[in-house]
Amino acid sequence: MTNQDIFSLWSQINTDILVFLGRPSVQLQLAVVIVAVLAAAVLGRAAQNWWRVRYRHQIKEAGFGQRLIYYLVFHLVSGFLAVAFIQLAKVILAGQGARTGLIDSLLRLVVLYLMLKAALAVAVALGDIRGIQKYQTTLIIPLFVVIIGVQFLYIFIRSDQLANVPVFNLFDNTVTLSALFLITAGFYLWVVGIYALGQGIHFLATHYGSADPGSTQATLTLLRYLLIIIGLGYVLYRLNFNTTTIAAISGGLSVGVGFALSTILSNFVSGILLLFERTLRPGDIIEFNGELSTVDLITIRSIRVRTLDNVEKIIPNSEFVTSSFTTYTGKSRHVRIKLLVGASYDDDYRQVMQTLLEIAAAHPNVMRDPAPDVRVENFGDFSIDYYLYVWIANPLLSGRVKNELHQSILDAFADKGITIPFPTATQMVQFADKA
Amino acid sequence: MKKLFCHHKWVFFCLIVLCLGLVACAPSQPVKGRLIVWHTWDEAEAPVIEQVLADFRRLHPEIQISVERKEYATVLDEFAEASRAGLGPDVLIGLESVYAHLLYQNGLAANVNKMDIDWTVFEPGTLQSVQRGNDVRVGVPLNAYVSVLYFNRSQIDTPPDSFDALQAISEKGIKVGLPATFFASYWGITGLGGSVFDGDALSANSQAGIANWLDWLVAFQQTPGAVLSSDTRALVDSFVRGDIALLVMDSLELASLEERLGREQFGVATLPGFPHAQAFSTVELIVVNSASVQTEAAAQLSNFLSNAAQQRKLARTTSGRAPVNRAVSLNPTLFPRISAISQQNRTAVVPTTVQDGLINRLIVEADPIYQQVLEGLITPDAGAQMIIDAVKNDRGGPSQ
Repeated sequence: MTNQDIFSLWSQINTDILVFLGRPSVQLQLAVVIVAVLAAAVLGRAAQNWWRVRYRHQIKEAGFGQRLIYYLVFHLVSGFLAVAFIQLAKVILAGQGARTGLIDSLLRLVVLYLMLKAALAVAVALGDIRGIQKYQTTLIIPLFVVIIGVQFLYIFIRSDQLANVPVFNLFDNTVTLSALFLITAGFYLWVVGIYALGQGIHFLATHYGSADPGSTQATLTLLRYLLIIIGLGYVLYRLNFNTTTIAAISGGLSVGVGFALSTILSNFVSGILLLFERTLRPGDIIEFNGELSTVDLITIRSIRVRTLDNVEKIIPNSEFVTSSFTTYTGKSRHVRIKLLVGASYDDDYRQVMQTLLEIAAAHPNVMRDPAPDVRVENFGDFSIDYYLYVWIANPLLSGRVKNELHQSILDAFADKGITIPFPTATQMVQFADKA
Repeated sequence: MKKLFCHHKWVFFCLIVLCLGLVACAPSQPVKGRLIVWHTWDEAEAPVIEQVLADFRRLHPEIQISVERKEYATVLDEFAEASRAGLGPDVLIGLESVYAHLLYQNGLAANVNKMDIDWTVFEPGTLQSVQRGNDVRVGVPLNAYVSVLYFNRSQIDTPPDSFDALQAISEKGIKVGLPATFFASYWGITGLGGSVFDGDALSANSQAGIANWLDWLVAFQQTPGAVLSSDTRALVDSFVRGDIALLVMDSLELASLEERLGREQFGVATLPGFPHAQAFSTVELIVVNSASVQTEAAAQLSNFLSNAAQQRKLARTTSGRAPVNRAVSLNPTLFPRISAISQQNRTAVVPTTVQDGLINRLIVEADPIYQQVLEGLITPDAGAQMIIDAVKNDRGGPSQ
């Protein structure tokens, strides 16, 4: 019965389209629009090539305004030509007393296409070309196809019959074609759209605003999951799921969770906790299992970190909830490092301290505020021990800064004749008396 | 080529799916015509017209039909927008003639005069509603509705057949509901021997005819049972509550009134003063889209819908729609209600397209003056004169 309904409706649509295509007024309008679009595509492609050859070298160093103009012209030239050609054809046809309503409808689709291309041009001009390219295939083209499809159906059918066709029954609820579309294509576009929007906001907030990248990404991740859950809730609502149905499904799921999904669920909950507590954010520098790493991405199941060796590690979220780890970027990214330096009792301790401070002050990665500090730490057996305290803004540089400071100290002490004493051992060899 | 395919793989995919779909649904037998049909009948009556269309499909398997119901309130706009695009139905069923003229005027409805339609079967009056000049017909009559007298059998055994009988009933205190507007009470003018139109213009004695009717209404208003109102909804509600025993109302209300009042108590009769009392008849048409090329199939469908058998079926199974085929006669014993409606419609006034403009001006001018006369603010004579003067002096409306 259900299938019969779909087929009879499809048959009706089929008849409608064949009837429309058989009308000379429709044929004329379609032909005009197709010719105009093809002409615009050919001319537009030529114009794009000319434009690219003329300006592509200059655009690399250009500011946002110039880039925006470049990409707007590049992406919109075909669309604008199509609009111009279609409008011209419409005026000519209207002057001949021909019908032009279909041309108007198709023109709206071209304008819609122009708007999408304009959004694309703005995004590309902002700079994140790789991200845009990814979403062009996963979001923009599917979205455009869906919009065109719906508009096409509306133009030719002008009916909500199609949307209300029952497809199948699920838990005693009838799933209509519109609901099926919503839970598949609609939900896909919703999720991908949320990701794209989040990425766009992150890009704008960090490149053009003063937002902290880690905090922004953590907030956006939370928002993303929230919006996805809202979308999921709406899908269930459109499927007419009642509380009994949800309870039945939850009951079934709980068994599965107990046996097979417990680890995944544990990681999922841990991920939510980490995000809510803001214990970790993307960009944080942590020491986990004795290794210094940067947090790259927090996902629903795991955290991706990058070590100093540029090796990526995928660590389950639950590890961070159940184990201890050190973060160097909790409230501040500034870290203090200390160097132990020994100098001879024979050298002037004031000269030693002054030299150490000068070395610290000269290093480009050492912060001026808080200022470097030198303290006499200990009177050793062979030397006076000093601690040089310096602050750096990036914990990942601590090893390199230490190394460079040590080298500078060796050079400066050699220049100034400051001795770094070291323990010496005198071996007394006693030979046996011949007598 | 490979590059072209890769760049436009979505478009190719959609085209392939569309082609497969079209091929899958291709008819297995030769098709001589394809018709998209819209109809405006409400949900309760839609199965009737759809059944008739299904019968046509069985009779003409070589003609494919796609049927869709549209809301009457929005169908005119939808049809106009679609037709301007070259789209829309080939045939629109159930549009009032006045709107069909409007569509034709805008180049959206076809002239069906030259189509292969048997015009001899129609009541001459109904053909008047589709005529536009000598060579143009804007649609094919399908059915008509008209004002009739409804009565509550529990309060009235025999409905009045004259104005005196109506007044006598009201004198007894039995409630009689009459709509006090020009269009809905036009039957009173003719019933009392007056006339308003002479061809497409006002008649010489139009003022006298209106004054005479207003005079009767004023006198009738003094009787205990008289309920005069321009609020037709209020009159209908009073009738179904049993507060009013007699009600003059549009025949399209038949099914609704019968259902609400109860079949046993419900009766329909011709108007008092019949056959002289002539109400306005509203004719519903089959309109052909001017963008359509399926004129042959549309003509076949029109001939089918207007043949005697289908007209009889439609009249018997729908609510208050009178047949327009002159060969259809309905036995008053077997079908008393629709028979009364059909009789009333045969004597009804079917306005021409020119008269429509005049009627619109009369409605605008007369309705408030009717109220003033009934409220005693002006005399019937003065009121009638004001109406005629206002209509004659109105230069903004359609010409006479």
